[in-house]
Amino acid sequence: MSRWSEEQVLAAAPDARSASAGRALAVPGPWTETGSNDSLVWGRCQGSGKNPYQVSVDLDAPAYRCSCPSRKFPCKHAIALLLLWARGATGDDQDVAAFAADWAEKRTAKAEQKTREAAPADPEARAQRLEQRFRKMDAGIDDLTVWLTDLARSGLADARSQPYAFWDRTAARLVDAQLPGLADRVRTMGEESLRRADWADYLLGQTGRLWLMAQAWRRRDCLTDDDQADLRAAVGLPTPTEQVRAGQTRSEIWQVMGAHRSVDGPLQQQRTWLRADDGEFGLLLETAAPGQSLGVPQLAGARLRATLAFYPGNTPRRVLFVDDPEPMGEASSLGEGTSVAEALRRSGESLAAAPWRTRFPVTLSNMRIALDPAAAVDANGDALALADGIALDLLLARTGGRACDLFGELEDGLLRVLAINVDGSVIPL
Amino acid sequence: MNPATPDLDAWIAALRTSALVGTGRRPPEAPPALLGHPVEDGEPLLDQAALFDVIVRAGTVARSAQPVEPCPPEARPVAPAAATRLLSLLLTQPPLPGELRDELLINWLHACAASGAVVAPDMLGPIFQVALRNLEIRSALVACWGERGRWLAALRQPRLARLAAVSTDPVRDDAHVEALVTRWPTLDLQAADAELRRLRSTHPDRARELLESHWTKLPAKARAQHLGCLEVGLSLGDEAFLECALDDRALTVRAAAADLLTHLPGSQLRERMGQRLAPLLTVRRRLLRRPEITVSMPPPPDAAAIRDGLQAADPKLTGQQAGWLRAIIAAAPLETWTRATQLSIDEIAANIDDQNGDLVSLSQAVARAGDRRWADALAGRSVNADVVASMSAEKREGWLCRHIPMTSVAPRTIATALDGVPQPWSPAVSKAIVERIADSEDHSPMLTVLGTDLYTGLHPEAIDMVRTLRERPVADPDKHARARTTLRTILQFHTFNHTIRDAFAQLAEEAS
Repeated sequence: MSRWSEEQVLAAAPDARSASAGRALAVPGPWTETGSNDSLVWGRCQGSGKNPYQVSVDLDAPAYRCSCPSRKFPCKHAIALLLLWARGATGDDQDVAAFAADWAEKRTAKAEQKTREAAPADPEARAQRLEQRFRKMDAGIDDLTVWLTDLARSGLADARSQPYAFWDRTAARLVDAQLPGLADRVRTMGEESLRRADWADYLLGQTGRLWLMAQAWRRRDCLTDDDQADLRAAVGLPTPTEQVRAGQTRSEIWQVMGAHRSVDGPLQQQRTWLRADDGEFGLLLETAAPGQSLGVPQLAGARLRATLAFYPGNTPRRVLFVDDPEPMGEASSLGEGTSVAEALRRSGESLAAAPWRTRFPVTLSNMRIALDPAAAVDANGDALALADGIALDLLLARTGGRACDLFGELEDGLLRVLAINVDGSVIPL
Repeated sequence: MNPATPDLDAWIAALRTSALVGTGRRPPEAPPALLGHPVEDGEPLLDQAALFDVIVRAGTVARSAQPVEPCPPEARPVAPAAATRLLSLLLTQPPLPGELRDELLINWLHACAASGAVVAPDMLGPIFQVALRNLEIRSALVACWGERGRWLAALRQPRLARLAAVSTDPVRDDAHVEALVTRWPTLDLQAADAELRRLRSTHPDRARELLESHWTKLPAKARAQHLGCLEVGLSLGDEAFLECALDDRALTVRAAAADLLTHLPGSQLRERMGQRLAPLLTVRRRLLRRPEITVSMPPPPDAAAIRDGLQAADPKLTGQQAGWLRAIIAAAPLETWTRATQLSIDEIAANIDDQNGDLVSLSQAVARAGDRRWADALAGRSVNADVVASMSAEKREGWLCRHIPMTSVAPRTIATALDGVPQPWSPAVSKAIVERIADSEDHSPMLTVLGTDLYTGLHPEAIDMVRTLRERPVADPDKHARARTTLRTILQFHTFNHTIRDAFAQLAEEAS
């Protein structure tokens, strides 16, 4: 496992407060018995209590363990330990500390047990289970069709005046029918309809999209394999990772174009866009429930030698790393970009294949920033409004208002800038 | 969406209505033919909603917008990476709390400006937030925020840009002056005050004339506040205007005018106060003994004295006489003393009574006049902290080194004495302070009375001593816990400062 950079460690922190607390603790003072090997980093950190906290990090997963009572994950002690390790400041003791060895052993045992459980007892049983699931899903879709028809009959104004339970009940039924992707959409509709000024058009569009997915599901046999795969992912039927690994792969130097972390209720999500030099995109999508941690953060501008396995579906496809990526230095450009009009045309086109997709990666050339409202403007004067939550001060400060290339996600007509290229270096935003 | 398709617009409007009220009350119309044929077994409204969703998204067109004017090119180098890391640390996880953090920030900014570098663009946003609430940081920032900082502040923090412009750019050319004069009556009180001070620093007469020309139209609060601006570049040219203000309707304006005139050397008001003081001074010369100087109490003030700022007699108040005397002594020219007593400065300083407050009043007058000869003459008399700042360097050093170690001297007196002394203090004074701090018990005000001056004022040569004193064993650690913490904080502060200087060292060398 290659050593992480300090920036990567800080990017792994669950929030800014943990990052700065970790930085403050990343001094040799409170640490004893630190050490690392290829897959583990460990150490003891003297906290406010009598006994030092035992901190261990499994670099491969990555997974973190600390005996402190913090509910942050990874906690500041793990961040601090990793920072020390990133600076090469941990001990070179190769003998794994007992508490770390113990934990690693338990983890391995658990993982093996999981693999044994996950291994298909026999293909026939598996096919049968899948069959059962499809039946359940079909019933769920029928249920949703009825609900949508009722919605259309009684009107969206009526739906908006319903309590949240109206949406939540339907979502819960969809979860029971093993359609979590659709359930999320229904819940979001309930929340957004009260929040948005354009709620009428929003509800109309979302209702249409749900209807389209339900109809597509019923006629799925007419769809191409890629379209079917997209649809399965959208309704929430995951493709098992071993199946992905066994499918199409590509070994290449991939450039990290940009990454975004978001918190959705209890779930943390990390999206990382990768691009090969010939323009093929891959989306690394990771989700972590409470107590779980996201993968090693990859920072925009890094070039990695890695084998990616592709999920089935239309481009840009979701991917996963087959092996550990190997850092190959820093990029000096974001590659070829387009104009705003061209980016909108391409995103419009890709709707034809997967109309329920909402996010498209775009690389834009020669973009400048406009304010009030904040937007990115290309050389033709065409502008894309910037999404909420963009560090606008930072974007302006770094570019100085001059034209630069940028990479971002186009979502609902808004641009979320994830990386910029200034003076020959690619910087995450 | 293409607005040139009336069919589509009409269809969408109809679809919206049906969807809102429900198909039960208003069935949807058929979509325009250009969208193709609907499926047969569908639900018309939901089919059309799906169509609407895709059409609207696929049809998104770019809006047009005007990008911001780019920032002018930067001629100065960006602060070194090591220095930027320190700045980031100060902004995100300061090693020291509150005011000390701000002092370190100011030092960082001064070091940056001195080395000819500018703040890294990434740091501008966070430091703006701090600069908005702290004037000193603001002025230090402006010296090294570079073109990028000026540009970003104008775009994103107009208030900061305004405040910064007020505090720094002097008014140079005549066009600038005229623009300011025209704009001045439209400004709110605070802004007008700031602009008046700015004009006053380069064009004192023009600023006074500006104020005079609007004087009668201003409310009392504004008159009093703006009059205070004349303290910048105060000269005898202002006297006539200030004399008029002594007859103002508002007490606050009269008080402000009197205060300025007592600070104006050679003013008639000071002369008048001198005339009030002279008859109160008597000397009894005795053979082979020291002359005895007596200062009598003044009579109740007449109308002219009240006009000059003395409080009118009020039978309900006690001790008014002493107050009048203090005010008269503080405002009278120091020459009055030598003239009226026919004694030399040294003779007066050596013989004035320090039991009844005369010495204190005279010290205040000396401090106000900033007169070095008088201050030096008073250096030998007990405790006159007020005049320390006006003394010659040699006398001052002697006074401080004598008084700081004396536990009989109150911490507050030491703080007053050090108040006007240029920082860093001399090594000897710094060491005396460190020793006094180290010996202070936890309840002693000595530990807090100097505020941040304790950290900013100490000479680097005294730091080794801090280290030694911190490491020495103390008889009763419980009583000296705060002293030890203070010593540790001093060390942290100076170590960080040192790191800042190191980070800029190479650039600073090249700059000089």
